[in-house]
Amino acid sequence: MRIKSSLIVMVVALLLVGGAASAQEAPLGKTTVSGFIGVGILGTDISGDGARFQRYRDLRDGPTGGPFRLDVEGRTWLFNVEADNVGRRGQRYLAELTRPGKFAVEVELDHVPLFYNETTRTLYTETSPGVLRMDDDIRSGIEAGSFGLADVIDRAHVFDLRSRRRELAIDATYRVLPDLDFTAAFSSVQRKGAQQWAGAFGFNPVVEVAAPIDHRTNTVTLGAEWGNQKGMVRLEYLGSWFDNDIQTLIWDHPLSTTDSTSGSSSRSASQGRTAMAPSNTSHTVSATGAISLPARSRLTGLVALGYFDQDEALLPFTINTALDTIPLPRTSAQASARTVSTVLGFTSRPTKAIRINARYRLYDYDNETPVFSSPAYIRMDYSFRPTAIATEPISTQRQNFDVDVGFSPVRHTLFKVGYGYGKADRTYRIFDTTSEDTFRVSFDTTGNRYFTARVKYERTSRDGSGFNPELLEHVGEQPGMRHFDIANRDRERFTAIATVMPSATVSAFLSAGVGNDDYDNSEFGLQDNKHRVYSIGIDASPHDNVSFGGSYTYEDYETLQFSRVASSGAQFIDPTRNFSTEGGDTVHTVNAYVDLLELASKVDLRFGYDFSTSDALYVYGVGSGLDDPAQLPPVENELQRVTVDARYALSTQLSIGFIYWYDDYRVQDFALDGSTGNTPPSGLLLGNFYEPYTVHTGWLTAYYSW
Amino acid sequence: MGTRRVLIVATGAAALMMFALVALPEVQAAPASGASQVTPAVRAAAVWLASPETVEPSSPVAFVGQSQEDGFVGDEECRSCHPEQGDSYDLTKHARELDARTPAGTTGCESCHGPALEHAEEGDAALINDFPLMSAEDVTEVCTECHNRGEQTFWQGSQHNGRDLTCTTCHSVHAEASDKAQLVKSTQTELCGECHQDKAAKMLRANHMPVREGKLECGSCHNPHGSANVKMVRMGTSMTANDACTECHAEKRGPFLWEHAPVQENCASCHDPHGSSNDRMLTAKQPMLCQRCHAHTRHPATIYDDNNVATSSRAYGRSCVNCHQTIHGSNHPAGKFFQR
Repeated sequence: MRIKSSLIVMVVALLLVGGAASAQEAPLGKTTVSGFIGVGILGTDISGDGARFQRYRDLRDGPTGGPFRLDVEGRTWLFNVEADNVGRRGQRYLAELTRPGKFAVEVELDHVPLFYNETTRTLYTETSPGVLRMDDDIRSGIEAGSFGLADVIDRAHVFDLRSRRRELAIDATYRVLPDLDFTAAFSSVQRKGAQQWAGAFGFNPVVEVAAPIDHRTNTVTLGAEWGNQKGMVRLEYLGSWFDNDIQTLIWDHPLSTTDSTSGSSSRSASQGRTAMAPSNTSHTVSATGAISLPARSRLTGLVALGYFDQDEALLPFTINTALDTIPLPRTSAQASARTVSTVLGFTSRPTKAIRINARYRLYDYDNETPVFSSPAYIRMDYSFRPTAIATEPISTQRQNFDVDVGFSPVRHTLFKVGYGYGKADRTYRIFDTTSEDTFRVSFDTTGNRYFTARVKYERTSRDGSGFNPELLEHVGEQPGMRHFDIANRDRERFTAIATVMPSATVSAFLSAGVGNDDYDNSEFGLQDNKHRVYSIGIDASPHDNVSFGGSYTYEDYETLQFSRVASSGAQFIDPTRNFSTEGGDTVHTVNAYVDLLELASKVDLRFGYDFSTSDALYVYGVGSGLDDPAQLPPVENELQRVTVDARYALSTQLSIGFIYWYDDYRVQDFALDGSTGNTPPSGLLLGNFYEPYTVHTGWLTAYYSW
Repeated sequence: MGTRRVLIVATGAAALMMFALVALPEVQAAPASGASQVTPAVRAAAVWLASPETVEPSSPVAFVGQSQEDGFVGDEECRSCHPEQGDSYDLTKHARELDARTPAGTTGCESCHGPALEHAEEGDAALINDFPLMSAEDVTEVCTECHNRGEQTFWQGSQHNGRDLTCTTCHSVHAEASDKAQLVKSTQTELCGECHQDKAAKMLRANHMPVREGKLECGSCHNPHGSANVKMVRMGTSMTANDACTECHAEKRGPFLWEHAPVQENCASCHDPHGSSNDRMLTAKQPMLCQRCHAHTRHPATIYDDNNVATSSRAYGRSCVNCHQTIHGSNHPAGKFFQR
């Protein structure tokens, strides 16, 4: 990232040198053109998981086009074109036309690749969109007991598991009156490719398929904004349409070619079928206003109304022809929700020493979807379940009021105390209502040229009311379970950052963040969630052309959760079968850089180093009624990156750049290290595991500026 | 939800009043026959709003229409002593004189630094707005004379404003280091990471958003100038991160036939959008993450230890999601357990 940004910055610096003259010449009526182009060649040597290294980028061997920048400035208009990674999977293009004080139009095309894996294997072939088939001879052979999945996995074809977003965005602003703007924006994002998808038939077999992705989200924003020094008003409409071209996924059962009523997950279905993400729309209209008031005060408000709609046709309960048909209570989802939200803010600075800030927020999500209920259902296409089911269209209303009062007895120093009250009402949750009280104090001193400090302490207490034990009982949950996202919780947060600047060329910082979430009324589930983060760093610029620095960050995260190993009956209430899971994750991060610019007026050199290592551990503790567990091995991730960015100016217009990246990633993950291969017991996976990689990348580019 | 209707009406009325108050100065400029439709109280408010003196700038910034008699000297005078600042200013959007909202379109250097006649005569830096020496709030008041709409609508009262950050903490008019937005660092990520070290460190995790690859930046999801949502999330008003997440992941937006409660509560209940060592940027590995809420009988509350990591479909690979694939919500009629 540093290389990428520094590359652009260095080139932009060249551009600015030319641009200075341009900006001054333009008023004379002369059209000026400035910009640069980079063309080069890239070579990458990858050992290991190349897909992870290229997760969101395309660094294959070959020529590179870009960066390209063109700025044309006329007397009354500006035109700007940008291009990056031309022809590659991460290509990006932008064009912008501006007539200052009148209008601006920007068009951007951006591709974002997502490369999951290049060694994934599958026995399935997509025969039509959303339909994945396996050779019948494989399935019938397995069904007949002639061989097993492990015997035929070599017939699986290796493929790249990847997808790509193609984003088109158009933004336009037109100034109708000196204080009034009309704005319009349109974006269209297409995502195509494939993703890892679970197509299990019960516990046996677990199946993963490469589910095709082909969907598009179109978004339109229309707005009008009026404003001057006294206030502003904005009216806006936001519409979003998500269209999924593959709403149904069908795939063969790898072990069975016939439908039956046996109830065996490994034998009673010939294929599976599921509903993929449904197409849906959302519409929001909002009005925002702000007004300046006496005593350096300002009142801000927003009202927004939203509507979400999803009415896709529902699939039958199963594709299994042998099972009895269960009639659908309705043929489409009929899912919709209305939202109302309000934000009111008031800030005031009646004297130089006093500040007041108050804000009220309301968000109401009213889920209007009718309950969908059925006296029975079919589980994963293989088993009829005579158990009634009913949906839970969750509605939520959140309100929050915050007030802060700040005192600034000394210039550049601010003491602040604050209180916040939050309340949330929810349907179909174990608490009807949760309320939250927050107290906070902070201290900031920023004006001293030798020292700045920021300190904040916050304490929050959340309590639930209207407990609904039947919701836990209904799903066979322990009555002492409290879902941590709404459970009673005491939260403490402390953050501090201090920066010392002993001279104009040196600064050093020290920061700390400590916090704890305590769920002490939860018998089961999450009990504690703690974090500690400490950082230290230094930056120095002993010379205009020389700068260096580095930082170290230590992070430690700890969690504790309780559960009980139990079947129904006596075990369910036996506390000796309790177990705890202590989670820990310790992370060390180091960053360092050295920049040597304009050496002998011709050479720029930048060096960077990043290191991140994480050790996570989950430790079980068990009650007397359980056998000692075999503890899990740690999960380890380590990334090292070295970057070198060199630039040599051949002339005022021509320069040569060379970039070198060294990336080394090590990983140990007990669940994703690939030891189970494609065919773990009773399963067929894609083989999308975590693998290490070592990469050397060299990138030679010639830049020409004009 | 009994208070909902009252709140909606009250807040709607407040919004309409605000709109009327802000817009009415324009109305008052209309012919008298039109003005007669306005009630005396509202007219009084409009008159007050139309009077510049009722707005109290903390600094000597003045507005369009003031001349040298008001203490202004003009850009040429400023540049005669500060040529470097003049040159750097010329490279910015502030210097686009065709845009009447820019300093160049109004009173140039003195748009921000205030009338400089006394300063020019006496050479005392204290007689103009000298930003490095000004308090954060004073700087804010100068900048928000113009930057009080659009992206900056919610600056006052935002978390950054409340901690005494100001415009010049992150932006520089005369010595910007970035390609865009006149930042004091070369990129948003570098700038934000100055204070948010923990978030910057998470960007280096194995599972991360495409920030370090340059496809997203902090401002893609957050508006550092403040927003209507919590945590300065740029989108929406849901008081969660969900509005930002579903802008790109609209397939998870719903509403679904079968809803998974924590998904609607907050995506950040299970995901860390800044980066994680866990697959899919989860805050913990599965099945431990799921066991934080699920202690049912049988398989959800089993100890998945080293003896069954390689053999149990609830432990290897994607763990719980090996079966409960549609965990963000299901549209399958049998999707009660987010399978099918």
